[in-house]
Parts: sequence; C-alpha cells; structure tokens
Amino acid sequence: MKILHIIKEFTETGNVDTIIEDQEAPDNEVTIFRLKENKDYAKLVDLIFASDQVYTW
Amino acid sequence: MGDDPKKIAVIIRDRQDEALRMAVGLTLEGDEVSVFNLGEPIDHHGDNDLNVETLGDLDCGRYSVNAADEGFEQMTMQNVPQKLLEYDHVAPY
Amino acid sequence: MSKLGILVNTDKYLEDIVGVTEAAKAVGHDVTIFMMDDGTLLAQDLCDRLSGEAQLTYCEHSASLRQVSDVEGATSGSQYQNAVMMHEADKVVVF
Repeated sequence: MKILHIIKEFTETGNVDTIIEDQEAPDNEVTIFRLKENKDYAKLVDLIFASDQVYTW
Repeated sequence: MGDDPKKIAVIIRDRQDEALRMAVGLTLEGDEVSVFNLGEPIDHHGDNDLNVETLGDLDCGRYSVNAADEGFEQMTMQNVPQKLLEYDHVAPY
Repeated sequence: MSKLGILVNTDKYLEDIVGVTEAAKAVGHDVTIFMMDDGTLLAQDLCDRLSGEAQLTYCEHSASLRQVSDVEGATSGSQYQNAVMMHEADKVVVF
C-alpha cells in the first residue's frame, strides 16, 4: 500500500510521528512530504494521485 | 470511484466541536464515517454531546484513546495507525 | 480525469492551496474546494486567485460567525457540500 503523509508548515507533529512510524511496515510504501521545506506542488499532486491513501497533517 | 459508499475517517485533535459537526455532515451522502479522538477527552459543551450521540445513532465508528470518552470504543495509540489504513479518506481536524 | 477535494479549515495555507490547485489543474484534474471554520476567512482570496480553476463552496454557518458573506465566485452552502465533495473525490487533502 502506498501511503502519503503531507506535513503542513505549522503542524505540531506529536502523535503524527507515531502514526507514520507504525505504518512503515514491509507491505507499505510510506512517503513524507514536508510543505515547509518543499513547495514542488506538481510533484505533490503526482504523489497524491499515485498513493492509495493520503493524510494531511 | 462510482457511487459506492466511501469509508471516511475524521481525526479529532484540537477542534473537537468542528470535527464532530463535520463528521455528522459527512454522513449525508451515505458514506461510512468514523471518528477517532486522538486529542483531549471530548468536552461536554455546545453540541458535542448531541453530535456524538447522532454519530452513534447513525452507526458511525467512534474511537478514542481516552478512557473518559463515553460511547467511544477505546483504542491504544498503537492500534490507530493500522485501523486508519481501512479508510478511503482520512481528514485530520 | 481524477477529482481532488480540498477541505480548507484554517486560514494559514493560502499559498499551498493555490499551488496545489494550479498544479492539479495543469495535469487535468478537477478540483473542488470546501471551506469551513477559519477556512472561510480565505474565501474571497481563494476566489480571486482560483477563478475558473476550482469549484469553490463554503459553509454558511462558519462564514456567518466570521462576518464573511456574499463571496463572489463561491457558493454558500452547508456541510452537505462537504459530504458531496468527499463522496465524489478520488483524493482529499486538508488545509
């Protein structure tokens, strides 16, 4: 399963880290996109539609 | 994706009232909506109690990491990530 | 053509919403934006920036609490429009 976690600029991660870490299993391909550091929106859109599940934190 | 019901998870964090109001509204298209409270126990003010009750009446999943949340199925934070994988859309609030 | 739903419930990410919407449109995706809570404070800015790029709707209840009204280019609605967006979207992001 392809999972995308989008981390927004002002998000306090907290238990978000727990969720991401626990989903990083052999069956899952987890990608983290940090909007504070990366504004490549075309790449982000590609990732959104290439992923089975999308989280925006 | 057709007209099949979607499975939608609303994650409650710091804005409980709006998250619960939204969750109730999301049932209007016949989708399967669940709420996951990962924040503080639900405050019993405003419309929160009514919205929690309505979600129960609509057979929506109600999950919480807080033992104090009456009407919610208790989960540990460790069990939440795998449970969330069941959903089409996840909307953290 | 796939459908992207954007739930806007804060007023912190105007540039990101515009960026994602324009990038999605550039590759042929349909974009629907639903604003509620503090996201309604971005209603006029999003309409000004994304005219013709996205279908924009906002929660009248949230908007009225923030003295937001008569937003040109967006439809005033309720949580029903959010339910429709979530139901029809292939992917949903939240700002």
